[in-house]
Amino acid sequence: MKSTHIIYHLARADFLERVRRYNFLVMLGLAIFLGYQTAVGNVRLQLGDYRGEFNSAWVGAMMSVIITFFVGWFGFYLVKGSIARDRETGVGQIIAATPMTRPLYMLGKWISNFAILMTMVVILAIFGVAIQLLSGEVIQMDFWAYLSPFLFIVTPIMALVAAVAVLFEAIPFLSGGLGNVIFFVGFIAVIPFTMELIETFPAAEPLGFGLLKTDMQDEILQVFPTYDGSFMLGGMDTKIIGTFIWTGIQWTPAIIFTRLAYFGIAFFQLILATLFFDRFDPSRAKPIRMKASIPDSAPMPASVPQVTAPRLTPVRITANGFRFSRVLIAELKVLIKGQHWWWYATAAGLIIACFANDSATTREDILPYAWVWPVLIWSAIGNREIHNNVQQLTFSSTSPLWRQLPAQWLAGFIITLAMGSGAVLRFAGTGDTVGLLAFLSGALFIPSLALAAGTWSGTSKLFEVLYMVIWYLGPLNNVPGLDFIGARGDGHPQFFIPFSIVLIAFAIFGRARQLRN
Amino acid sequence: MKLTISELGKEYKNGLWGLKNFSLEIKPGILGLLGPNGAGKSTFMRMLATITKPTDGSIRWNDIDIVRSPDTLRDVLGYLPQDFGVYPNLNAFEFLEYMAAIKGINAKPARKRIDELLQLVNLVEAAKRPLGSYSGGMKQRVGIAQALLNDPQLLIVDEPTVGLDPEERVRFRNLLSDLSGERIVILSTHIVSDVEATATHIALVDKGQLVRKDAPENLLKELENKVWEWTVGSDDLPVLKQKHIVSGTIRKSNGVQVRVVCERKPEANAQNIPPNLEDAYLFFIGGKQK
Repeated sequence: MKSTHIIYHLARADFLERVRRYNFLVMLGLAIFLGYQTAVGNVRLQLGDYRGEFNSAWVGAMMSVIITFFVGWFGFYLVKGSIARDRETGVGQIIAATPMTRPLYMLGKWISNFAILMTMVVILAIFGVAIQLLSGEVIQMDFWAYLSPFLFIVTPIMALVAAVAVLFEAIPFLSGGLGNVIFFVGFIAVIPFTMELIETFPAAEPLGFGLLKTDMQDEILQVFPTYDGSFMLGGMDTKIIGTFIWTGIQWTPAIIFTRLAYFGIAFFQLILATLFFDRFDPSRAKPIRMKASIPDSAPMPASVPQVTAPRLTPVRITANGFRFSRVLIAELKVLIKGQHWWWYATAAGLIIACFANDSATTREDILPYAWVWPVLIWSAIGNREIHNNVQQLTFSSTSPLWRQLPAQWLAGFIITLAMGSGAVLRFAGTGDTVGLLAFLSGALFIPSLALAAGTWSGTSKLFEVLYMVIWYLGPLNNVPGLDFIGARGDGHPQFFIPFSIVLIAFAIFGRARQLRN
Repeated sequence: MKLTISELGKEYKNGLWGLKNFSLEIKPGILGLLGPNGAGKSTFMRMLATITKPTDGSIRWNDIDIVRSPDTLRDVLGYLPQDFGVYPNLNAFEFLEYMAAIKGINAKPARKRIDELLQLVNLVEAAKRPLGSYSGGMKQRVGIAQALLNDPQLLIVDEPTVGLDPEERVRFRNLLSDLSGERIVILSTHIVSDVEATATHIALVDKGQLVRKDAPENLLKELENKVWEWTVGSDDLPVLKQKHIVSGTIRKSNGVQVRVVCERKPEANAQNIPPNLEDAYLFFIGGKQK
């Protein structure tokens, strides 16, 4: 009873703290945006060129698939950060000094994450009702047919995502930007494996695609024998040539048990998280690396016995004392310091590989990876002051807007150029002017996006997610308009160069707003 | 050199005023800001440091409005906030170089100044270690060093001795006294003895308003014949605390020796003793009504 009381209050406090933050409004906005896109048909479920009639079962299934895919993927980023906040605010150490056990703390955080994700689910579920009623195809609401996919497909996956977020936060090397990137890549990488379950054990396929596809294709084949077997989230650009009636899944105990097993996997993640969690003990945190010449056990400098202050040489600040190059070098140092040796070794390898291969291979297969490697360096641009709580020191210096912000952007630009230097030499050597122009446009776009995202969000997370999505869809999957590198085209410099300028202006406006306070 | 604050006010988004109708003229020397938690000291200092914009009033540095032209002050400002961070992967020297660059100090004098400051704050041996490995007190000393980088004419330090050991505290107090000659130093602290040791003037702040600004000797003079000491039984102490401003107690074998601030002699056996700044603080901040 006492434990329940503790978990309730931990989860409640955490939930309230989060819903009162600005970020929560952003989350609600995203949920509403996704609901709206579905309502106007920009996102829809379809099987080949067909879709189901808009009855409760179909709309419930469509909303469930959309939620497990989009909220499952991006919800992770929205809920991750709760333990980090306890660490940064110092609340964690206060909690650690109480009888709160690690499993209880993890459970409380999981419940809070789950509650946040379910808030978004509820908003989208309400949109679903509106979508069915506004479509006018079937006015009658069948609540069981509508809600059962939410219950058995969406809820267990939200529980799993909530637990994975807790696990990533508990494991030191996954708690930061690297964890964000790994989850992004992992989510994409896992989908093809889980798709194989569609044929063998459809109920076990996590996103619900398997279960729904298997059930729906039995219906559709009776009406449209030419159905090609595909199952996808389409949009306005995909055609619909016919509709069929689907009345929902027969939820057998075996299916329900399989779906609810994801709760079990979520709890397993929590157990793992408990094992990794350091309970806010700083001595268990990864030490900051020191130079070899300074032993780890270097004694703290002893106070000198005399307390007379040494004399200071007066300093004159002159109007021409400011040197932009010095600020730029300092910004570069701040950005790249603290990386492991293997980070530099890999970066050097990618630069050499860009130069060593032919122009087409470099553009398609190597430059995209060279330009994703420093993602955690770029993501610090524009928000590092806030992340490290240095803003009061730097913002009270002369002209913080025009001295520091351009230097931050330029430092990011130099790193982008450096990572692509092998490609530039290759393109120049082979006279690939299209590649060179695309390179320039991409090199302008990356630090500009980082600066704008960092300045406005105050965190590195927004850039990490935005950039990874654009990088995955554009250079890797050739989605029209998003290939900013020119991996398989001209890189759309006519769009990305002006857009970069807009992003820089947006960042300047954001920083000016921060300074105005 | 003067800093003129007129009718300064800051209203927060929730409608609460952090500071209201705050007027003050500050000349070279050390101004100690004293006040209870939430009195508005940090809000005041953030406004002086050009971090926070006031809602009302003006701040003038040598007659130039710094709300409109903040860079006029920023060139000559040294600021140590109450709560600040550092870049954990840089060492102290690199961090100070970074701060010197954005403050616009030439490279050569900056390096010399950094060397001197590292010596001054006793961090020479640790200067090449990443700041992430520093203790709270060491980080505070880095903060002090960065505030002094540009040889500021206006030095604003908010709770500067938090986390420092007693010896470092004494060292910092001495440093402040040495620095205060031809510059304005504004020192906010809860440690009355820090102010007592250094301040040429004291501003008492409460509920966002200036209660009193005066030289310490004048404040003490006003309390002459108002501080008393005698011994009471332990059981009488709670009643005494309700009736008078008790500024100190010492347990003795025959009871509790109390130190009381009171306009008139509170007890027949009470002895008049010289006042200190702690007595003055308690008397002027909310104690007068007792």
